[in-house]
Amino acid sequence: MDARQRRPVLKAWQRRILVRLATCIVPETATASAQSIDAMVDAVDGQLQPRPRLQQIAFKLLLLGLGWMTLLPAGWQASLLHLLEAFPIRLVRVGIWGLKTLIYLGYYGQESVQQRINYLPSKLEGNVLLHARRLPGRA
Amino acid sequence: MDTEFDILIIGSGAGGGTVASALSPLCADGARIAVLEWGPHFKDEEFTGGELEMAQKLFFESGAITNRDQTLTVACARGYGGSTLAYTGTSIEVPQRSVDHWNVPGLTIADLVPRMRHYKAQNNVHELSDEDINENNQLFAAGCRALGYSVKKFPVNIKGCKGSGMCNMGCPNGAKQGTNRVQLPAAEAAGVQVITNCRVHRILPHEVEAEVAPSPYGHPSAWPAGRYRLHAKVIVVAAGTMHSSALMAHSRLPVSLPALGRYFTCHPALTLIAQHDHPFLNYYGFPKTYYCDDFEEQDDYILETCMYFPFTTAKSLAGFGAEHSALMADFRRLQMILVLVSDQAEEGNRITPDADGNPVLHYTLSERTLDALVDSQRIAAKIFFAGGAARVHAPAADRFLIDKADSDQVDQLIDRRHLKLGKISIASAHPMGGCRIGTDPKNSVTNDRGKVHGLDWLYVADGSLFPGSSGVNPYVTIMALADRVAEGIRDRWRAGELR
Ligand SMILES: Cc1cc2nc3c(=O)[nH]c(=O)nc-3n(C[C@H](O)[C@H](O)[C@H](O)COP(=O)(O)OP(=O)(O)OC[C@H]3O[C@@H](n4cnc5c(N)ncnc54)[C@H](O)[C@@H]3O)c2cc1C
Ligand code: SF4
Repeated sequence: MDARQRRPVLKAWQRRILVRLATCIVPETATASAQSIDAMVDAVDGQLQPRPRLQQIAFKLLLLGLGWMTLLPAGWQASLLHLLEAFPIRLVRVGIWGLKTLIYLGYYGQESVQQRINYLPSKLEGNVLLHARRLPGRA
Repeated sequence: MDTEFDILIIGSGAGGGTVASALSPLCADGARIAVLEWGPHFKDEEFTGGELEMAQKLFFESGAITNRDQTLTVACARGYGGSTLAYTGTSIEVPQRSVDHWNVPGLTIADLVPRMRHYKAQNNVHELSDEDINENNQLFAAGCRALGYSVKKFPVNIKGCKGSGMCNMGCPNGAKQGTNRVQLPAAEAAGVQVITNCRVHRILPHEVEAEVAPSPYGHPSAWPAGRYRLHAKVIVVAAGTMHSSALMAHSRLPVSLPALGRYFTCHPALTLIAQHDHPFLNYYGFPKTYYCDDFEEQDDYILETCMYFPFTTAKSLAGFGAEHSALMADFRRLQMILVLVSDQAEEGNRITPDADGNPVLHYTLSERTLDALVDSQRIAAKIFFAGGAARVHAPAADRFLIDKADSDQVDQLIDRRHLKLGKISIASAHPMGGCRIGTDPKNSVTNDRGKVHGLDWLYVADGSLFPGSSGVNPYVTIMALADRVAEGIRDRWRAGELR
């Protein structure tokens, strides 16, 4: 039940492709700290771990299939991914959706990123801050 | 420990928790009753509000059980309290038109209303006072009113809410009144045993095969880890829509139930997001206060306010790259609306078990549902703009963001052509059906009291009983149906049939 106890699913080269694809999907990952990138890839891996083997293989095949794309200039990569996101074959669209979703999970699931985008909920003081009309985060 | 029971209840969510509390007075009369719950009994401090952490702890498959063609995800929770741990707590009564549409002899709105009111009172259901309503909700109401749509306040089941906005990750303040807070503790106090971390693998005549396995979370189970064979005069399946059908089909019951798992519905939903030019108070306070049901009867959908968390929000946006990042850059500027479609009950939409008894969902979004999803985006976009939004993201638009300058063109810009299944995040938190109530065993699984056709020892008491979708948030209706099931069992007990 506890995903953290299992072995990593992604190999080093697959992690590298994932990181390169992430820069196309969430451009600011290109300048994110190594710690944040590691956290992103670890979270993706953590999601894959409890999934059936077939799903893990499908994801690795997707990375393999898209790996060559990361050698293209950034603009081309984005155009190609947009094409695939709306591709006439549903299975292709589903694959891109899965990739995007995992990258969003890995990135926007991080507390430091949530703080940076001004998502700073308060467990105990939400109503107090609401009544005081205090906007969260930076000006 | 005891392996002989009078009544075993599988699952502790809206259905199972209700049956447990409604039957608990029988304990004083000597009845031995137990609830077997797959998930743990979380400790209060384990509701941390961490988005990923809670998704993994609380939900089956982190909240994303996918249908076979991967065009829809379904969320249901696992633990003492079931999905009531994760629900927002909006407490709506099923409307007469839905019950009429179900058309089940013996099941009437007149019978359901007092039961729904009873559980609403038990759960402290009331409307929020205006001062506790944040701007995400106020903007929705203002937009609806400006357009002449009616807007209603949700009755909600909270007590001592601190406005953390974390309801769907489990309330960190114990304020949301789920079966974990109300019905299960009352049932335990009256003598019902609740065994957590206990998965039922198979149902046999008057018997279940169950397994207690340690969990990294929650209070320890009342029973040691191991496999158990438990006997009971009556078994009540309340494992939730996704799991009840799968468990029963996996169990190979000694009757033919051709409708088992079929007529699944789920209120397919889209989270729509708009950006304002300035930050506002969107995520402090209780997240869901208003809804608009003007379009339910004619066009099959309702619109509700909502406010989700960063990852959930990011994945609800179709698209990626710089424009996606720009929208996500300041969470305080985002306004959200959830649209939910009342999908039709179709025989082919069904749940089957895999080799381990886990649910496999075969569900196709119908043309009618897709039309409703598109139309609802147009209405939501108009509400956003009428409320002052600067830009709107609609997944079926021809562009990532519709600018306010183009707000008079939303009917053209949002179009079925752009709604590509597999590209957009369609999600459900309201799975229903699969063990539907009815009179004909060809197209239903239980009678109007939840007793499985042809088996006098097996009952169902959860969302899977719905003959069709409820059209509104379903938990109050589930409690009312579960209460009817409990009443039938109680009557048999009192008549001496089960002693
Ligand atoms: C995020 C979210 C928000 C929601 N918000 C609202 C809302 O605001 N208003 C509303 O009306 N509804 C809401 N709902 C829906 C509502 O929570 C559900 O409809 C309701 O809880 C379903 O009740 P149930 O008894 O059918 O199943 P559940 O409540 O899901 O309970 C089923 C239980 O059975 C257990 N189980 C499954 N299989 C087994 C097994 N083999 N052995 C033992 N135990 C098993 C599960 O672990 C689970 O605890 C929401 C749901 C979600 C997920
Ligand atoms: S908003 Fe209120 S009910 Fe919801 S999680 Fe926070 S304290 Fe609990």
